[in-house]
Amino acid sequence: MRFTAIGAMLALVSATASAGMVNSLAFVSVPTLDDLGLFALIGLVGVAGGWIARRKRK
Amino acid sequence: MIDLHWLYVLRVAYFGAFIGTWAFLVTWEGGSPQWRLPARRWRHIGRNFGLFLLAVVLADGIVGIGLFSVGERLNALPHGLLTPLGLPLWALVIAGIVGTDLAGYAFHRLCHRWRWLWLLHSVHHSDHQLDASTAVREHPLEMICDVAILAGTLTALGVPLWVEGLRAAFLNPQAMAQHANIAFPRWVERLFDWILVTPALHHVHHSPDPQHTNSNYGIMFSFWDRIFHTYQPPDPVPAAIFGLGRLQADRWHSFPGMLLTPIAARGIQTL
Repeated sequence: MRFTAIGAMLALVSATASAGMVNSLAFVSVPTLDDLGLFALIGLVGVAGGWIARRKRK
Repeated sequence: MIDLHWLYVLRVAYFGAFIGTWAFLVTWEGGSPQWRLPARRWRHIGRNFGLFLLAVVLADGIVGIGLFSVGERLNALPHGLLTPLGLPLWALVIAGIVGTDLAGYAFHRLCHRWRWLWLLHSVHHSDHQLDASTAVREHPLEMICDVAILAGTLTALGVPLWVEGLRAAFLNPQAMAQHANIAFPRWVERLFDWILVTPALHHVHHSPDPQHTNSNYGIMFSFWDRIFHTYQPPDPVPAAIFGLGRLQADRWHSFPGMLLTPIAARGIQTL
């Protein structure tokens, strides 16, 4: 089993950029600071969840 | 066509599921692993993610965007096999998810059958220190094939390409959990085993025993293995031995080592 569907990831980035008229070329958009903050927050929630899980399993 | 606002939501779901699940699993693995953690755990994780980054750039940049123009056609409804049926969007989404999973199953099975594909796929199977990062350990050439098959399947069916992003938001966390160095509760395995490829089922697939390696090819759904008679139930007591016997040495697991495995391992008849 492989990690799949990677193709969609950058495609989503480029599509959003095109839609927002930031740049009509594909593959030029990077996530905004808002996006990065949101992803960091989700990552922190993940760490907190993992911390709870490992304490419960010990 | 869907509202562009939903494409943005899909992007957040995709990245959020990826980052959140990995953070969750890597923290859990660090505290209560199912089997012994690698001596240099973060080096192992770094190497796997390094290969992943290169594979993403090559596969998405060259094939996904260059060949298939995925970015431009993401929200378009292609004319395909299902178009004459005039199905509603929800039915197309289900058909796309099931169809790409079947294509993934078939490709995965071919990877274990055709020598040159197996040499590519062996990079994933050579990891003897299974953890969540193993899910992203894939040779760039294999990922190129993967992206081409997935985009090609959706286009042939007449399903919009954003469906793959939706599928990935669920599948990628599942893939990381399948490889995680965690003993999930038995009730979780029993609850999902009949429909989804669970971690215990997938651990069987990573066994060095060829009889086990050549089973449980399912990507998301486990029923393909039952339908096509490749299902192997999980061991009651997991052996926790993974990898490929002939690719144990550290040189096969460095960044250039993984990249060159398909060439360097050509002479080894039984990996």
